[in-house]
Amino acid sequence: MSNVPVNPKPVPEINAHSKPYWDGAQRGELMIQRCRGTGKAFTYARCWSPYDFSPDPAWEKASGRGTVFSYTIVYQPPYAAFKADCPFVMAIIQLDEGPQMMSNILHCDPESVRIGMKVKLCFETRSGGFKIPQFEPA
Amino acid sequence: MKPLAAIVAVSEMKPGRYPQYNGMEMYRQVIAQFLREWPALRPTDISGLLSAPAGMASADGTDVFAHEKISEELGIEPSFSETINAGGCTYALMLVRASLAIERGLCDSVLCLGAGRFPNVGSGMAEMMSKLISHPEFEYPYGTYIPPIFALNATRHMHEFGTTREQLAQVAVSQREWSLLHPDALMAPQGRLSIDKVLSSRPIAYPFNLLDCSVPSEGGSAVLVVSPKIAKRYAKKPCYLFGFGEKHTHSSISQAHDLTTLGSRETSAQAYRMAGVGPGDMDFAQLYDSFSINPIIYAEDLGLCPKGKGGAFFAGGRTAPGGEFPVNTYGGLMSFGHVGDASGQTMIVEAARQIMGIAGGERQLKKADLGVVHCYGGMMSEHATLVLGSQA
Repeated sequence: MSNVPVNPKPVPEINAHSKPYWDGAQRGELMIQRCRGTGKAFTYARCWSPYDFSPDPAWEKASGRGTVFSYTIVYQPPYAAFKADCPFVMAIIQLDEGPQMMSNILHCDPESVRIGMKVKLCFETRSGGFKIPQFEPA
Repeated sequence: MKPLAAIVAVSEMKPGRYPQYNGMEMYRQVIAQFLREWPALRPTDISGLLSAPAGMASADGTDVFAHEKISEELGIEPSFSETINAGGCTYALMLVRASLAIERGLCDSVLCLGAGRFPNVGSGMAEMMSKLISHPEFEYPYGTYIPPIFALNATRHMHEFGTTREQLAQVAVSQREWSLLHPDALMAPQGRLSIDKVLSSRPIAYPFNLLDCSVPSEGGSAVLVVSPKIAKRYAKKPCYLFGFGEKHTHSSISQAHDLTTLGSRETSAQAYRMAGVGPGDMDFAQLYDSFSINPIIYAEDLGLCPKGKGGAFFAGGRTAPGGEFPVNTYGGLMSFGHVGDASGQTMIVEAARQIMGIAGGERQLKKADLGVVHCYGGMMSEHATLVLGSQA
């Protein structure tokens, strides 16, 4: 019991179409999709391509490399589950493949984060052993 | 300039906390005050009605049938009515929808109503709000909530254009000055602000401190829009709608194409073009300001200053009372009060009061012939610009 956090940080409610993304995360991989018509990569998991509506976009493993596009240091937690993490970094990461995604930046002094900083994929384990893709300084 | 519609009557509740009222009761308070302030109105004067969902983001639930319940209580059978939602953008879009309905002859007047709530911080609604305002599957797990989302726009603006925290603070200082001239402003009793006070308030999400953020509260307002043909029956000096623009660019902040140039550039260009005017013709602006970065970005996107110069635009009291270009003449969401999504109508109420010449006291601008209002919904994801003026 002592290992169970009082207010566990959230895990997502997974949908049928996004299962490959979260299955990939449990394997330690960041999965992105690519439009079968235009060849362009995108986040987040969708049933169709937002570029040409082509169905069933292809899944592929991303490099896990990216750059900080913007960030903030959160001092006031959104709710109790994040209280122990404060101050923590919330950032938009631009993946080397092009698309952007939300992340925290872990394993660093929050004040050391800068726009343009190179980051690499890591994972945070939440309740039930569920892995969430995260980033840390490269 | 061809008027598209005319605002002839407005009223607004004093922002505050009203735990004794549920969503529908908030609407009743708004309407009762409106009818007290405009006692000549009768049910036959209202042939259209638009409302936002009652009790939005409140624990007692959201009602999307608000329009029919309100119409019934008012004793009207409108020929144009619905409950619509685009967050803070809702009310500018009500004015747009009302003008189109009036132009097509669906009705000749529309009562636009809003009653907004803002959950108390830490009231147990935070997780629900997080899933509502960010992607519930791909953003929510990272602890997203409203201030850090807007902080992402701010940090990027500082990076691209050298905007400073002092310039952000100046927005708050300027708007507090305006709020001191408004009898109902929530923060007026706190007195004047200084840049130092903003910079020394407690940090929320870099670069925002507490005083870079608007004040969550509750309230609501009513706006009666009529055909320009009959406007003079209701008001000696109506406030006319001359142009509008609408754009919805994204929902999740991590999917935004740009964090420093928003849909507002396109909506303002469309609104000016429709009205046949330019930003240089404006006497004032009301710019939706949940956080200190927002009016800076909007001043740029609306062409009131060049891109990247929004910080300097607010410096040195330029936008404060007595300054060259008045912005948020009621104190903005930051000092008047942020009454949930209904804040989007507060700005229209204030613009109309200025143009109709009924703002009162020192707050009334000497010249308020043309003004621009910019509202957004969501995380600066839905946009509407209105050009309003006095000359038909």
